[in-house]
Amino acid sequence: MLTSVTSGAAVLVISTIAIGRAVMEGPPSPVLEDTLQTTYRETIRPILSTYCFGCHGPGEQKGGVQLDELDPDFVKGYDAEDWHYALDVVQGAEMPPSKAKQLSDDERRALVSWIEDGLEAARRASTGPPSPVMRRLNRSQYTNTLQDLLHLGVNFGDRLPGDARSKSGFTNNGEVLLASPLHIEGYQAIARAALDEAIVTGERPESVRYRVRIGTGLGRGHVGAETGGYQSVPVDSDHFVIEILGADGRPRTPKSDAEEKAMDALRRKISIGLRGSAQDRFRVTEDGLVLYGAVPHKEVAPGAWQGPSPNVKLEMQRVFPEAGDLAMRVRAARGQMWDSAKVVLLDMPDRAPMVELDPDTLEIVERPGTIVTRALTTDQRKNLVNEGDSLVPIDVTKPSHARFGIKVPEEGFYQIDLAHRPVAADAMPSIRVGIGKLTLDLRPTMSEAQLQESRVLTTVGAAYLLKGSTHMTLGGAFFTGFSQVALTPIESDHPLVVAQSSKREELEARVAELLPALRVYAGTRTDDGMDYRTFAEPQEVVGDVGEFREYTFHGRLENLPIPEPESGDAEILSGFLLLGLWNDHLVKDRKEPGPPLLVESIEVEAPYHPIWPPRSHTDIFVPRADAESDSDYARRVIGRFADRAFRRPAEPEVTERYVEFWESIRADYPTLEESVKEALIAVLCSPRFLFLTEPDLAGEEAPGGDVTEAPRIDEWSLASRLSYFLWNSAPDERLLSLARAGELRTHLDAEVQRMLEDPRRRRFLDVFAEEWLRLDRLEQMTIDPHRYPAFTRFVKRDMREETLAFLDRLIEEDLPIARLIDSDFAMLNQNLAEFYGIDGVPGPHFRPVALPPGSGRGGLLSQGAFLAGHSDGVQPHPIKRAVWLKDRILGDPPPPPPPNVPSLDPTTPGFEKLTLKEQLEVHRNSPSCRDCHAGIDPYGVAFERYSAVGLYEPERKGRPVDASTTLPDGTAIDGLAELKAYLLDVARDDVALSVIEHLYAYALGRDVSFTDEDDLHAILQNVRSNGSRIRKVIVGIVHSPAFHR
Amino acid sequence: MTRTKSWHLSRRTFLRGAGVAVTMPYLHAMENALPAAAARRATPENPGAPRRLVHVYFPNGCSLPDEKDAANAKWRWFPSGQGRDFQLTEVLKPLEKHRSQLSFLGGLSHVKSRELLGHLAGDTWLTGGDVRFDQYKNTMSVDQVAAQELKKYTRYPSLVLSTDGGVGYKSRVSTLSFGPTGKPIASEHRQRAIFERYFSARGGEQSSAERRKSLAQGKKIVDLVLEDSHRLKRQLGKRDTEKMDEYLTSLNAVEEQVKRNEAWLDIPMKPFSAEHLNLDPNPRTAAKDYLRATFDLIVLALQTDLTRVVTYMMAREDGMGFGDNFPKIALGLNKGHHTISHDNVEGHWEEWGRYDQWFAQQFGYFIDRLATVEDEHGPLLDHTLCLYGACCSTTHNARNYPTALVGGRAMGVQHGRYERYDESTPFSNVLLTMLHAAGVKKESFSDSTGLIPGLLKG
Repeated sequence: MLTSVTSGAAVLVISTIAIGRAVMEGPPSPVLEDTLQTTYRETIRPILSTYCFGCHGPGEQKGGVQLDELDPDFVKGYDAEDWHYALDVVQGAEMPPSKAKQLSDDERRALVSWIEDGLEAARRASTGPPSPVMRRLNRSQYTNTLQDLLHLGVNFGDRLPGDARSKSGFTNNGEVLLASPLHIEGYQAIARAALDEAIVTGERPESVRYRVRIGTGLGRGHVGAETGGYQSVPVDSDHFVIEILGADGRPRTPKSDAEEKAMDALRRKISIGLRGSAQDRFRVTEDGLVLYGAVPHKEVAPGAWQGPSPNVKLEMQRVFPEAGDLAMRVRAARGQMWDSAKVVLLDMPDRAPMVELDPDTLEIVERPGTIVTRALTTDQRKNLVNEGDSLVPIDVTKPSHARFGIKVPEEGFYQIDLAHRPVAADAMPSIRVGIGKLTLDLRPTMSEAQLQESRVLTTVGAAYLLKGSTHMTLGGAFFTGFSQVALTPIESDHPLVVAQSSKREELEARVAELLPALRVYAGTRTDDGMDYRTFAEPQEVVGDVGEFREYTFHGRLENLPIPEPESGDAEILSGFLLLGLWNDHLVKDRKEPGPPLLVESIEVEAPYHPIWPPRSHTDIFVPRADAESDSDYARRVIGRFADRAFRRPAEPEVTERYVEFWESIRADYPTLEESVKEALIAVLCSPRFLFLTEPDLAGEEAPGGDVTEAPRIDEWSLASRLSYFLWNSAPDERLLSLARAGELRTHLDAEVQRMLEDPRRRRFLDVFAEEWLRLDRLEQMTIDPHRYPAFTRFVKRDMREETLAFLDRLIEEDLPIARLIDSDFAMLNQNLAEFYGIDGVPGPHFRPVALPPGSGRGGLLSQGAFLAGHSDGVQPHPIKRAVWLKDRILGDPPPPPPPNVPSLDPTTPGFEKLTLKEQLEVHRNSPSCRDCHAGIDPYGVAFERYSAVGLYEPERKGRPVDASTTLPDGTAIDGLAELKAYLLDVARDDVALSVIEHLYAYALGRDVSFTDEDDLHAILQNVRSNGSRIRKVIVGIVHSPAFHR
Repeated sequence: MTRTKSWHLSRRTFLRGAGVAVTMPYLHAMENALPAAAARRATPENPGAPRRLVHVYFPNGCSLPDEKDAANAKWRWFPSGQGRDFQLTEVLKPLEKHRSQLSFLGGLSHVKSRELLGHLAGDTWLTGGDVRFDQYKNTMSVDQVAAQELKKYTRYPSLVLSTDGGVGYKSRVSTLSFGPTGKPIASEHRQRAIFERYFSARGGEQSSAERRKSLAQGKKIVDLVLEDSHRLKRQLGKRDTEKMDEYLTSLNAVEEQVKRNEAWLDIPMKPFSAEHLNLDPNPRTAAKDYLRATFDLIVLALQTDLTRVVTYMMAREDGMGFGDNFPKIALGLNKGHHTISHDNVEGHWEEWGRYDQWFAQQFGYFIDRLATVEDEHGPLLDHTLCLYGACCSTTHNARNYPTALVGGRAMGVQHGRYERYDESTPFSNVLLTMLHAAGVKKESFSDSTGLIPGLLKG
């Protein structure tokens, strides 16, 4: 019995059935089989006899394995699986055992290729005619379909189990899309929740609508909160005012004292904060809050996940809705820089102390200009006790506080270094330093060596201080305690000092042509940061400096990481919904201000209901005719809904059954809406909704089950095939009306063009690109943040977007397939262009950017999504890149390595000094790996000059990078440019065929089989004679016979 | 055409699609549950003696003085010695009499939580989820995985209990349990409300009525969909009927589950005595009574087979909630638990050790009760595997979780050892082993790499 080696019982069953049937029906290939038999007799059996039968033959069967009796006929025999096992152990160099006599290279090669050919013959024989299987909607299709049907933008599918991938890598494959009981429970629960949301009763519910206006002194005499906690940077409540708005958008005026009190109670739950933001990057002015371009956060754990710096957020504690659409309105303008002479406090990551400890006295060695203060000279102490020359907390979990005065001789930046006893990380040592109302928190980590010392120095941060006398404080919860604190002027060439001393006009001139942008997010406050997600597209802020405009953003609360509803939790820092924004003109360097953004007010409205009752409701409960009975109306509503949900007219008896159901339960529910809702929930659990059901055209099935000419699908099915192919969702009204008229087939070309012009094509492209090009690998990749500090989460996000936008551009412009391999443009925004080292691409939106010759960019193969997704996080990974290229781009997936494949052998002398390319050569020199890798590695070596994050890197480990290699067909190439040239010339058809084949598999929701080869080649011919344009591929697939069967 | 290697690929593809296979044991279990209906008891489809899991958590780590410290011998949480020859310190003395039903595991932690501050790691004790970065990705907790399968035997899938109630907030939760998408499940904490909801005739009826209504709604819809599916199946070509059968099988499974749930509602509660219950303990004055009252309710729930899966968070991390004051109330110390855990004044290890000991006394009381109270299969403890522990060792170090397993002799658990593991063994292996002990034989849980060797028979 032929079975594949898998772990799942279900899988075994499926493949057994498929192969069992196929053995009878598969296309014979007698020539190949004859050759296999001859080779066995003449070559293979003698080899086996020499090296194997001794232990695995008639006399002895070590491990229960007997090779001499294995049937060499892979097709009619039943031993293919055992041969496959033999192949694995030979390739894995497990057999023959190292002590025994070894096969020569030629012998091993002969044995390996004979087994591979045999397996190939078996596979060929096992492939029956393609039989498309009814497809269940996968997660994204289900979500899109339900969103379109109900006009609700909720990510409905999130709670469903994930979908399996097919052989070609797609999740829309009918064969592997199972429907488990968990799915059924999920469908029911989702349908109920979705219809609860879609169907409304009564008057428009009152929305939460707050507006916070920011400006110096605006809040004096008004109530507003300030939220504290670790790393908090609250805006003083004197500088903002909270307006509670009515439905008309005007501030509500209280009609009584009680109402006024209630409104103030609400205001005490709302604050504005910039938690985690650096204080030299924002400022409250009379006109509003100025935010410099945001600096992305570093990906280092344990971290303080506070978002980019600076970012500002409305902090609402337990006074927000939990579901519905959300509108966020920001009044903003282009801003101006401020004059610098103002006290600020900054963290100084990765800085060494500027002073030293005397090893004998453990005191700070004084140096010129440094201001040193002893702990014991401080005044106003709280929760601190003397311990020798130090102050330490009495109760370490409670906030401590010590104040001291300093005289500042010169205005400027001073580094703050603290001498204190070492504290292990598990005691969460913390330091809070304060000047006036400014505070800065640090959680220092001490090395093992430091923990052995009796005193250590920690750099807390830096302060910009004005000349004269001032006070500073030290302490906070989990305070380390201290013996001395030193303030040392920072060297004059430090970027902070440089930025400070550059003239404001100079800085303003640098950003005069640039626009700030708004990027908004929502989230939950956590103890050491926030869990947040951005929503809506960023918007550039235009107009003159100081010219305010309103920018509106829409989101959906259920899709955002808002706080869980709490039952009774009253913790002081829990239950915060954050609604925030930053200046999305991201900057890579803290000394760059970027174009300043001025924010006058932030407003939130949720749930946002521009019309009432909403369309989600009126599209289900259509206007009722005069004197229409409950039954008639319910029948009409249910029938209409079923037609739309099933994507074809529901047969009368089907609708009738749902109406009967409604009749049987209507008495249990107080309103018509509620009882009808039960019937609609059932509609959404019907397989007619959940599956792409394609009833055969009546009368066309040949008698006797002859399937040589499969019946054609009806036009309703065709409409669904088209829309789930090109929109990843249900057909729209136009497609359905063409199907209704029976004219869809005759309008096919026009419809395909219309659908490709429609923005909904992105739903197709995003999923197709993700699965074809394995963008999930980028998502899962962890890049070493110390080696690649510029690779931020925003670079990662934009790399993905680059690839999606690139494919979208190809479709939009109907460009030739060859552009996939090389193009004279790249789709970039400022953030990604800067990462790649390309200038002159301002702003957050993606657009085609012409590439100068020699830029090293252009085409899919030089995009970060692929290159970074196929590294190991530290170095490029030529094998991953090569396998991807062969599998995804050339359509020739290499066989997987045998089990227990030996990894690169680090015992080779000097191994760690080798580049990965050289390490691979060592690997290839082991005979068990050589043959296979000779066909793989060269493709990966060509990418060697692209680093683990996809940057061009001509040198590595201090040596020039060698990207020269010889491809399996003997072509010598050096680097990516020559690989591209090769792909565009010699391998042109392979590339085109791979694109066609992947799209074909996706369009049909099934894997490609041998019997499709003719169709695929026909499409290729047609595409080629039409300038190899990308849309021709799609048109070709839609016209292929398989698309209609 | 050169693309011809798919025969090879099938192995890998299907392995990757392991999500598919996950549903199969469930289906399988559903079917297996039916023939066993002739169980010893008049309960629906009980395949034999129950297998239960209880998870009990304490916050803020445990006392672990340095080995050079004089307090080490007496006040460290972990025993001294190793293997069979371990000796309990003062801290866990209250569990000494159950030595033969007890195992200690040292050195374990969740891989993805090791870099976190200990308090935040508490969000992942039963999940192994990833909450390191600014997208909080928690995942389903092990008790809920168990409950998904064991719920078919009982009235309720699980009890989720705590001292503070609710879910708390991300990074400082007040529940141990998380649903299929990683959302926290609200915990219950008021003893009287719990009793009335689950055990009292009046409250029981009320909640039964609600449940009956929701089950009936679900059942009617499933019936209708089943009927429509059969009709559709007749219209489909042969090629699709296999797929349709697959869908119908799943629908049937769901319908069976609904029927079982309904049947439960018609079976009267086993008689029990509630005289010993204290339903109104005051946590502000009687900390011991407060914890024991909840433990008594857990014993009652297991005894009546109300559920087979329980989580209980005895107090919250980071000085939050009622629980932080227990050391003041119960031991007359002048500090809260969180402060004790950070303390470094003279004698602080002893304070911490004494408080750990106090927790162990309350948990020991629970184990005593389980060993005493019997159902028709014998002492409850023999059929109940309890996990007792925390998510950090010393103060905020999210490694080397204090971990004890108690009970479950009749579930094949082999006790009596203290073993230490290095960091190549993820804590998830303990959770997976517990699932297997409960008969939920998943291939993996979270980032598990296998079972804890030697803990289960066979």
